Amino acid sequence: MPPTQAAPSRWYFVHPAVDLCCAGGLSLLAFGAAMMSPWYSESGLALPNALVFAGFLQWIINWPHFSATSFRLLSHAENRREFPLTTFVIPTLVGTGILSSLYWSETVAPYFIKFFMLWSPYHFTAQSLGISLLYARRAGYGISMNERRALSAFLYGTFLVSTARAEVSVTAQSYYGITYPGLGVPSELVTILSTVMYGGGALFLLFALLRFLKKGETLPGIIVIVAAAQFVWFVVGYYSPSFYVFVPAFHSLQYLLIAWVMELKENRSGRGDGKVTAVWSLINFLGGASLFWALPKVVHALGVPQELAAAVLISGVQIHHFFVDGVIWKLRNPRVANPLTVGWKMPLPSARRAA
Amino acid sequence: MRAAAALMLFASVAWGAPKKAPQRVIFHTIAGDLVFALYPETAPRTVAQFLDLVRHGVYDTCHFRRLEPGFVLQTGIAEDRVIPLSLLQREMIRKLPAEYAADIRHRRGSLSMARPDNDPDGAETSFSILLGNAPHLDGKYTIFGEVESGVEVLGELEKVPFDSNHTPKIRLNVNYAEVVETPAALQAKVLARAIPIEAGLREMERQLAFKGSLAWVGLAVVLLVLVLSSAIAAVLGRGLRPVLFLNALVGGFVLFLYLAPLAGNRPWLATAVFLGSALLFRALSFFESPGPPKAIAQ
Repeated sequence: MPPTQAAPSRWYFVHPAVDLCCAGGLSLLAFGAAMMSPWYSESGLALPNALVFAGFLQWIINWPHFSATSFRLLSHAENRREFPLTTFVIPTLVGTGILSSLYWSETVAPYFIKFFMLWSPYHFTAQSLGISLLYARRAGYGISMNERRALSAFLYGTFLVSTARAEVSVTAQSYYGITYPGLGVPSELVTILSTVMYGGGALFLLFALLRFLKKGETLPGIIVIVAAAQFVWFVVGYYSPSFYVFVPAFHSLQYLLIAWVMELKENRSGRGDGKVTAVWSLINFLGGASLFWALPKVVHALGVPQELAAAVLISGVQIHHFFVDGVIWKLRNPRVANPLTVGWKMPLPSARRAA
Repeated sequence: MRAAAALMLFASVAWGAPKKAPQRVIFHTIAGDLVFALYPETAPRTVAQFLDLVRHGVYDTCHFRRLEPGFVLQTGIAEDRVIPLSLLQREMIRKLPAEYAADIRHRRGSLSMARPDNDPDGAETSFSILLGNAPHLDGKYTIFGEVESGVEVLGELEKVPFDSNHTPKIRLNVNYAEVVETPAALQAKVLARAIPIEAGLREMERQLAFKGSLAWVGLAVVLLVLVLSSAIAAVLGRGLRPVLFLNALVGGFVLFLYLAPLAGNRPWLATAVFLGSALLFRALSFFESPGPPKAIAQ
């Protein structure tokens, strides 16, 4: 059944509670529960049950979200035409990085993994900013350039602060058994970046307050939710390992809601939303499993040590995802902005209107 | 002659001469090659780790940091190499439990693990080559092998002057170490005889300088190619923007590869690498980016 065109635009895609949860509200609830419950562990290690559950979510949320990016790029001819370098050249470059890492496992692989480790939180942040701007646009709350800069300073600040904090130490970390180094940045850098982060957040709230007082415009709550979630994920949640293992799932949930909405919006097959959802979900589940479970096993079967295969391939797949994601979801692109910002409501049974 | 050989055989059996591993380890030092035989039954864990570390290049460019003629020639710890250990190499180093054998004595040519004074199970990578008998060390330090060949090389190393701390005044480097897996393979090896120390030192410095220069030349070539391709695209008037972005990605990663390993002890470089990476990610987000926003269809 084709989506219903609602007369007034709504800030949400599905339902206020659903959008709020997917955008970051669920993670805030989870963090609150983790802090107040016996789940909270100060040992520095996640609880075993948390690891098991996070591992399960990895199959059905994290990995499919990677597949959804490649699916969107490759399955839409318009995307392949518009982004030929991303479609053909970037995989070649990333593949070269993977092969180099597998061949020079002691000199290249640790730094290929390190490069991915630094890029990953940046990617989370860029997505949070994009989602904030998207919902602001849908809610009719235009973000000025100064407001955007303040919001960006806060959001990117969370990435910089948390990453710099991790990079103060030169102690080697391990990713699937492959060790990679710390950079050893000075601790003063963390202080400076924290100042930028808090300053940006305070400035954005000040702008919002001034708008409210002068024009009566209320800052959409979902923007606050996204920003708060980002802060919790990177600055505070770091100290709760049993919560922290779920951050990739929360990030993936943010993404999947938007990607799913877009898939329904662009559906030209004539199939109903349920079928489109089922097919899309299955494709991405299988795609994710192929990339993250099957591919390392295939490479291992070719003689590459298992840990090396897993660490390098998973890093490479994610680097490819960071690249593609940054290209195909630009709100400046009308093919992206139009479907996401024109009034549209998911026809849930309770929200169905008479024709 | 036969009687002497039989007597030696009887003596070795009577005194429980340790069984040697089939492998041999060769230390290619600046004074020539030393061949070590190892005692896997006497010190199994020590021998296993030693072989593993040699196979993975942990002892390459290490040095003998303590020289007491007639007593010991001792290596430094592996972290004290010319070329820093890789992370994988560091991960391989484990503390070794003491493995004393009552019937094996510290004598000239013995290989004995060094350890902290107050930690009998604290041996890791540093070891001594005994330059004389040292019965006072028996039962306190793990003997894991002996010098089988290269006595004259030891003699050259012993001649090096040293200071009051018994630190050689010339760095006695081990250029590289290798495991020779079988006696047949050892037979096929051409071992370097003892060479005067000064000639060996000059050769090592030349090799290291060459390798270091080669790495930086490689980086310069890669960056030059990237700059040239950008210049060509600019001249041709085609594809400059995507070429620039792709070159930024490749060049940025290559620079990261070269600079990140050096950042550990240089806070300013670590900061530059960190912030430079963040800027690179930000810049790459404009790759194949569409133009200015158009009016959104309602």
